[in-house]
Amino acid sequence: MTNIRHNRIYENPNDIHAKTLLTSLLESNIPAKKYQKNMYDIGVHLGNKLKNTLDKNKTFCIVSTAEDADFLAKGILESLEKDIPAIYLTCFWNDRISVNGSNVAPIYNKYFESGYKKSDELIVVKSIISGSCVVKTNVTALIDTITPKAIHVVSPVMHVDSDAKLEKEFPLSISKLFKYIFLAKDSEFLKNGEMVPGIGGSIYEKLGFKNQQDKNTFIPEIVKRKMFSRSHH
Amino acid sequence: MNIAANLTLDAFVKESIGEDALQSLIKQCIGGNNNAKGNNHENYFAIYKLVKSFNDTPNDDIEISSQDRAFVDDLVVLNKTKNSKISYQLKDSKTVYWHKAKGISPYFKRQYKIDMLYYHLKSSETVLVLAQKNVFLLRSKDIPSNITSHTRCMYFPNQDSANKMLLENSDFKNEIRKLCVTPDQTDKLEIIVKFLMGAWFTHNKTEKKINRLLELAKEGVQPDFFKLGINSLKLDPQTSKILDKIDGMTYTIDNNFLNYQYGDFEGIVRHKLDTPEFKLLCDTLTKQQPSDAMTLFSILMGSGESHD
Repeated sequence: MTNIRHNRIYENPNDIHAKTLLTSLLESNIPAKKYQKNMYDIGVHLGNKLKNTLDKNKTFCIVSTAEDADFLAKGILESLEKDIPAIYLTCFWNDRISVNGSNVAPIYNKYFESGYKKSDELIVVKSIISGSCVVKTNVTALIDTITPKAIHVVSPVMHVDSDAKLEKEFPLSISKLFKYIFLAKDSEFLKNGEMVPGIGGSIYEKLGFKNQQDKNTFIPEIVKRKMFSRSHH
Repeated sequence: MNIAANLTLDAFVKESIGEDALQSLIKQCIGGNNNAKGNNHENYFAIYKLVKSFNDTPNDDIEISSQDRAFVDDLVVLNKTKNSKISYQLKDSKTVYWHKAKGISPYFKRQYKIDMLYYHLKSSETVLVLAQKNVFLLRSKDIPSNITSHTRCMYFPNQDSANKMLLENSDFKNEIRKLCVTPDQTDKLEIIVKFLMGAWFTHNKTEKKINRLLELAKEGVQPDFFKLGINSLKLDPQTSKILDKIDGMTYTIDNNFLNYQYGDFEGIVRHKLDTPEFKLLCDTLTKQQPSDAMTLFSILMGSGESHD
């Protein structure tokens, strides 16, 4: 097991399962398949935590990135849908780029499951939240068409300042809706901008993609299934 | 603009308004240049006026500048075609007064006098731009009678970020939308704002023409979501034939971008039709001849080189 020397704050220090799951992400040379399974398991754990806070009669919209959809988001979705009948999926393919020194995450592809506009609350899923740029972009894209009553941001690991950064990007009418479900908060960055211990490295490579471009050519299985079951059959 | 014969601005101010006014003008210019650094309120407002001036009158010869030698100097928009000028003073403060100590009305009065008698403008307007709503409401009600003919107040709130500015300020957003290939997508509007901001930061001391500043903002940008001034190109027939074969998919070309939709899934190809990257994508399509949606999307979604 990796010896963690960084300043990590656990959301619940007594949650031994959460600690074990997070530590599993840090294993060096972990095969992509195993990492994917670990991320799915973390999704299930986060989903179970989240479920206790939700009104099960409401309608929810899961907001995922393409890279998280088949693993973290799938785990959350499967743990929720046992008890909550109305959950829609939206998925975004973002590039992460720097424009004049600040990060932006333009959306090039998106999947919005039919009926998503009926959602009362958003569940925004992200494998790691450091600068909040992707979360900000995808939430902004949705609030053009949905007026959510709550926005649950669900992530295994967040930076200690990421919630404040995210809220600064929105008017008070939106920022007051944010609620956070996470397992740990980190505060250290490497020189290359990677948050440590974080999730053990770059999410793209850890999940088995070659790079950002590679993950953007990929349509998650969970999206494919919904595309073909709802739209074309 | 027909400058008063044989007089510098400083000499005109000294002669027509007084020595104290000249010293105030000199001090203000030094202070303004120091305060201008990193002021979000002024920068967002400059972008807003730059884009709005272009959108409203694209064929007029318009210059925009800040911290010029002037009494009202935070932002000046000079329409040379109409020989008219609007000078803006920006305040993000809860204590702004027309008359009290450090009151701003004398500056507005002097500026109007300079514009009409020294620069011989056809019209001159002085505008107090306020970031605080309650201050805006109060100062709008008590504009001194000796400057009301050329003065008004305007509300323009300050924001922490481009995203928040776009979400909170519909006037700002509407002007940016007119420049963008996808006016309904805030993520693309945000990128336009960042490129405009970059051009303004870099060039506002050396370039005043709004058309040129917009050209500089668009130069070499990647990704390029600026709307074109010309009609869209068309897809080559070979590529069209391949796309037409995919049952259930629709596509459009808008401002040289290929947009596609398949049920609840939609996308935009990263590169414009007239780029080498798009040509490469067409070659791949021709070579692979995808006959199902998933194979086609894997090519369309991965076009061109990475932005990393």
